[in-house]
Amino acid sequence: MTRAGARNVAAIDEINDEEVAEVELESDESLATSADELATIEEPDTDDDDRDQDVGKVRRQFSLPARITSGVIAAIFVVIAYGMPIWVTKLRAPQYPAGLELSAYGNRVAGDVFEVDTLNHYIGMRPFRFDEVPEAKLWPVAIILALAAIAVSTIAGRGWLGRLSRLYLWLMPVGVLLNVQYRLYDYGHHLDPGAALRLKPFTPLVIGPTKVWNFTAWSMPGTALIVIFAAGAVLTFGPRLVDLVIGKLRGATETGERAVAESG
Amino acid sequence: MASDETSKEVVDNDTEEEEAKAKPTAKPPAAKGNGNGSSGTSDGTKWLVIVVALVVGVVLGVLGARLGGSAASAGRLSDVASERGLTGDQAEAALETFVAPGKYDDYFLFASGGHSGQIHVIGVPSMRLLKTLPVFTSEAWSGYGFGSDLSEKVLQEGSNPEKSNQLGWGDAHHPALSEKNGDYDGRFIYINDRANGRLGMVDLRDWKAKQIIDIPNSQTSHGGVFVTPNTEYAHISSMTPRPNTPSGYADLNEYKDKFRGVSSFVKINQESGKGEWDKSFQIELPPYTQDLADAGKKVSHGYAFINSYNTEMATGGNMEGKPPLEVGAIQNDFDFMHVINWEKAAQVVEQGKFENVNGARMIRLDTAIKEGLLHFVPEPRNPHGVDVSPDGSYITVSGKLDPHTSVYSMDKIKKAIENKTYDGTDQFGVPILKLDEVREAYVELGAGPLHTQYDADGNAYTSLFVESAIAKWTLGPNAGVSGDKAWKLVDKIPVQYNIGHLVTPEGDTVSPDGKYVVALNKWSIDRYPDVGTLHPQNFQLIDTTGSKMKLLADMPIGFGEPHYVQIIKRDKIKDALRVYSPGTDPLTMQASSVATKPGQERVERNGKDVDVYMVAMRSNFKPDVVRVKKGDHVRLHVTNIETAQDATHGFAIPGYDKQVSLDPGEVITVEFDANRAGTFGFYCTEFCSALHLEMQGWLLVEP
Repeated sequence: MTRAGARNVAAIDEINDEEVAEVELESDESLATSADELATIEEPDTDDDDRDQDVGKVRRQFSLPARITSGVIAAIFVVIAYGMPIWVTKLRAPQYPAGLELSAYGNRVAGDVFEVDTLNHYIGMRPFRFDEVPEAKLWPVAIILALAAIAVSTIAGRGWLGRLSRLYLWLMPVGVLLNVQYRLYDYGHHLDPGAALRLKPFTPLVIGPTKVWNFTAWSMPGTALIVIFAAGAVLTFGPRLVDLVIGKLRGATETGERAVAESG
Repeated sequence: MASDETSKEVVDNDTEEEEAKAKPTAKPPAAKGNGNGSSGTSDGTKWLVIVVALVVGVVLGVLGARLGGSAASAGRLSDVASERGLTGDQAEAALETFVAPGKYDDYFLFASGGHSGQIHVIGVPSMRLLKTLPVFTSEAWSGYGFGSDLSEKVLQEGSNPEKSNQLGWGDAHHPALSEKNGDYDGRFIYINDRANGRLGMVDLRDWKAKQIIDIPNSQTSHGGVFVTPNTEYAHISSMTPRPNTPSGYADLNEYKDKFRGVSSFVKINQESGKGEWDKSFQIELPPYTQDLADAGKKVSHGYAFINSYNTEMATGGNMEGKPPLEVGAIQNDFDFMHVINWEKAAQVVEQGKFENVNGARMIRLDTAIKEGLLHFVPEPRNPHGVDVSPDGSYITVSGKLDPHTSVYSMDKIKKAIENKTYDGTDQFGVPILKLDEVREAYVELGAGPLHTQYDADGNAYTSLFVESAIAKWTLGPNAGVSGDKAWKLVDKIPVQYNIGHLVTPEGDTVSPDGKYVVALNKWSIDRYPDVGTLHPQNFQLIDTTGSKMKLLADMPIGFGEPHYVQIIKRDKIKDALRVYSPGTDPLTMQASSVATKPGQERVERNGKDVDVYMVAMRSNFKPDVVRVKKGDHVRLHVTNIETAQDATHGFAIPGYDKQVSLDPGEVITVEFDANRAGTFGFYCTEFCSALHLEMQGWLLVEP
């Protein structure tokens, strides 16, 4: 198969039914070619490829534009994520119709901190002090590492180094959540015994609802973690997608040229 | 399961809400029908509305039942009406005025509290009392006048020791919301003290009184408050003329020579809303009794109108061989409406044509006459209300003893002033315009007309005190009413009883809303069960949308005697705070210099002066033990560091007559001489939290 043919494969892979119908109207030959090529789509392409030694299969390396596009998008995501909340909890109680909200960032906790601290003193939970969470200082490091991982993934593409770097982006948010869960456990298990309300030690959930006295706290990952997750997804699936689109565009152009040539 | 019950309740609530929404949508066709049809068909139409409402009820009821609730059904609605003995009209009125729990009224009604010295805030159409705002009189719940620096300053500065004792009350008569282009802008509200001639101001950011100005050269006040169309000035005029002698004393036989009235234009600072006396001015007036007043707008912009009576200058003296005032003051056929060109007056002041009299820049009467600032218009004797129409072209004056109302044309007044078509002058030299040249209409309304308000459709509503009724009548061409329809009485509704003022929503602005009129009745007689010998006043909400006015609701006013009131759309008050930003001094609305943050609590002693920087939060004061010595001068600066709305604390010291409210974020200083030894348990007066009862501390005053 020629290079152009390979691109055609990629393009037709993405063509939806409507487009197929259009192609059919334009040229029967084209449709036949497409059908043949569709049948061979999963077959290895020996023209331009890298060999993935771990899997033992022959896999095509993604094109450089595809990798760079995905890498840049992922990097933008990660940079944006740096200033976004890492973890969010929303508290509901009858006398707070609008609810209370806490948002943990890499350098502060925002929202109704004062009010939550005021309420927490009734159950003997110590007021939140940011300097009691030293690992928060690692947030910029985690972000820089994420950017480094993106760079590695972009350069290495497929291959174990690339995979490892992408894995970091998937696992970093999980690690952060686990750390928040540990801190929540810590706050919930060091209650002042002299407090007005004597509660058994408890563990507020890092994700999901926790009921304490008249409050229900709904916790969830912040947008930062979601965006980093998204960056991981872009890095993992983006190159393939971009290659498909590029191939489709080129294929469509060539099909068009051919159609013009034939009609001429 | 509890959760099941909860979900059921939710379903019920939703269904009721839908019904509440559905009813008003069923209403407008009926209102329209009433407007077009004769009164004979209106009953039928009302019943049609009820039937429609019931059908909607059935539909929603079935829906509600399907959703698993016990929603009201058609049968249930009519059952409720019959069980409660309600007629169709009454059931409909209930639906028109009902505001569901947790929902808000469309309008705020600001009612003067009369000699309670307060302003009462009432929701319309529910007619529920929302809040009382103290202005001239102490009020302990909000801590006004019981030791808070804000209220002490306002009350003390509002009392001129050269004129009066420290004043502890006032007679709040006529509120005036601030305006922009002749329409309410919802920022500030002003009110006069009838008893002591003072001007009070309430800031509608935190709804607290921020200033009382004692007006020099005047003792009492009835004219105003009105504000000029862009709140350049708040106007207040004297009622009883006051001797212009240094001591404030003159014998009554020197009435004509030494007594004078005064019209005061108080310059308003647009940021703080406060009056700035050094930029204000006064106009000296003859010793008639200046009564109600109103500002011109649009066509009459730049003018002010003040009624007067007792142009006879009677003084009473019924044990001294003179007739009582009620006889002496009604001898003349005509009294004089004062037409004041305040814009020109402000220029005259800028030109330096004033005298400094007791701290006031006063334009003397002869200057006012010479400069053409003051003209008189004859008005039937013993007038009361003077009310400018929305377009500013008509000025309605009603006389208590004349069953007619007189409507003056601003165009004609201007022309008469320009052409000097005078009917001579009064005995002080003030030119009198010819009545026939300036009066546009003379409409017979009924017995004892007093005050007039307007709607958006060219109608005027006038209270008939003697007749206990409201007259609805039409204005003329400038208000869009022409031909035979102009200047006609179109409807009348009896009210219970003895109506004073009345009010329509935004009815004294350039764009009234119509829809309702509220009768402010002086007597309630039999409208309420016996609650002692001092009866409540009676507010009545009346629907004006139909061809016949219809009574919707009574509201007992058992907390003051309102005079004038104003109604403003709720959403026009845009800057209202739900909570102060932390550390606010309510007097300045800025960060307080004595605000205390957690960790900064301290006691500073400087000789006999003790400053305590205290913090209040759920559920303690810090410090909670304060030690001083007898003879110390103590300043307790208390900061409520709460940020949650409604997390209010109080601070009360027994034995020292101190009680202040500390709203969230507010800083209040309580200042006193520790002149009484003892150990006093101060405490939080507002039930703030589960441990509220523990929120107390000790003030130790060592002998």
